[in-house]
Amino acid sequence: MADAARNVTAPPLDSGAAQARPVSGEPVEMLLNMGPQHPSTHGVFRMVLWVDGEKIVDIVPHIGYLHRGSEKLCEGEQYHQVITLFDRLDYIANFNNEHVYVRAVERLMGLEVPERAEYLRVILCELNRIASHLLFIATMGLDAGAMTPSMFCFRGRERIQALFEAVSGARMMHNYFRIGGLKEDVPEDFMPRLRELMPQIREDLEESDKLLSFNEIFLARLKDISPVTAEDAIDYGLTGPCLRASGVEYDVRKAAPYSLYDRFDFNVPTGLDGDCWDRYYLRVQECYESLSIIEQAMEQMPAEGNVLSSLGRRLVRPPAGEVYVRAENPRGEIGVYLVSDGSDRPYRLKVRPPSFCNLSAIRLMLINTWVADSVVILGSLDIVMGEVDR
Amino acid sequence: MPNEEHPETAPAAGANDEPEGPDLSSLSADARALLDSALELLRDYGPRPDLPIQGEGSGIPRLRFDRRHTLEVCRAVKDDERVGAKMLLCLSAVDYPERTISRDSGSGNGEGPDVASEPAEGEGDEPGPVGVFEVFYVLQSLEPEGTLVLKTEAPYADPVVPSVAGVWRAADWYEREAHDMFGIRFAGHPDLSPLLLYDGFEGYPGRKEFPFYEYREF
Repeated sequence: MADAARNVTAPPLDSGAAQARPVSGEPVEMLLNMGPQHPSTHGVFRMVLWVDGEKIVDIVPHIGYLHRGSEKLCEGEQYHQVITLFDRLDYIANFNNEHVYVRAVERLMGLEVPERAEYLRVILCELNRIASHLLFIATMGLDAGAMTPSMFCFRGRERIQALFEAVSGARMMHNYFRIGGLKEDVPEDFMPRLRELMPQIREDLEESDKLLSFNEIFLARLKDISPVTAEDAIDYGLTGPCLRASGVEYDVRKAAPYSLYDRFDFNVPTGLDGDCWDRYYLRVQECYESLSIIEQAMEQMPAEGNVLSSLGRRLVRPPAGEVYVRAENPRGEIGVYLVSDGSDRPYRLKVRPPSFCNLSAIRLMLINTWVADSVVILGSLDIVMGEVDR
Repeated sequence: MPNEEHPETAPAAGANDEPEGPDLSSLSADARALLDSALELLRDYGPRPDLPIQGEGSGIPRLRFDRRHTLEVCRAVKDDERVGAKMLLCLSAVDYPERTISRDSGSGNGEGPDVASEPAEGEGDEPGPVGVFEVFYVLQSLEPEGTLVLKTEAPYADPVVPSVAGVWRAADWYEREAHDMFGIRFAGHPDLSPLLLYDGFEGYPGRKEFPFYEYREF
């Protein structure tokens, strides 16, 4: 099995990541280019690996292929138009992105959101979390060579997206949340459809879980691969499942509850070793927690009511000020730093994308591992390049 | 919560508009305690509490400090038990082309050894008497739960801030990004090569002066 002595300590920052390492006789080092177009890189991400045989000696990550200048574009759009840009950051978890942005503007304006709208937001965000994690489970299986579980996962994800389409008109890129509420109320058959959907998702999850999680080959590919210590995880700013896999019990929904998350009873799963399998299995467990949150929200939600605050219908002009709002996205903690100068457009908007920080630890995680493992290690981070590059 | 002044910081406070010191009444008790311990910890570096940043629940305490002390301040808040800013959540800059640098935010008067006085290299940079980059650091303490925002300023003419990549490794990419977007040099950063932009990109797209909807062949 994989190399036992996996004491991955990060080399110092000045060890020359950008320069070619001098090839000094023995051992022979080779440059191996991976990406930007590579099925395992989940987008356009390029790594230049320096390998000594099958062992990775150093790696230089290259990002920016999907850079669209989203933060700059936000400065030129009105507050409501920015929502569409947030859809396109983490394009696997659109609702979660919209949620954090509208919350930032609402905090700035001191806007109260109708309770029904907030419950619907939580339900949609948690569904989106499950859809995102299902995609992760599917691709994790594929990266490790398991085809079948992906079928169950994609079936579950497609079911969720069909519901999203009924709600917002789009499978992805919903543009459904509004500052102060939602664009419109959900369709009349939303609750019956959701009630029907819940056991189906659970079934899809359980089926792929049974096939994949404790499969011997899958375990051999993932267990003890590239463990990250809690100290390293915190130092690199890893958040979300990548942080919790290292044993740090930290979830923004619990630690600093936002929206309605203080009204729900849920667990924060943590890992033990911080290896690839922990990062994988933690997300599986999170799906079950999300299902539980949705069930509680369905019970608590008022059956009818307004879904958009009257202030949100107007041209949004928040008072001058600064706001930083955090949220737990499927990939980790997203933050929005918004500076307003009192006009109808943001003066400056900075997104703290979870994948960006998670990916910045890739060098630490890959050095001293095998080339064949690099694919699952990268996969276990669950990056979305739309968010890394913005 | 009573709005009390901090004796050691009262003279320096209110660098901008608030002569009486900022209104900290929106902060929760925990956030206020965090701010107080940070102020006490950083007493030697002349921290100036600013209006809290709005956030979930109560606000997030915000501290300004002189960029000369960046490294010392960041090391101190990271290592201190009570502040415990073990995690750097976010680092970036805000461009204020019209603003002049606030009173004691370092202007050539015996600055630290790292801060060079020559203007930034590169194109599209127009040094002028006004124009300030505000560099902010969003820091997170996991135990006890608490968020703290640090701010420092660098003028257009000398956009250099000491790098904190040696304090939090998360700062590495953030500083490269801020260098791409604003042309801020982070003194002591090991490798400020372009991260999000391609090699040879001209100008700094994060700055306000950079045109929005112009296309460029490449």
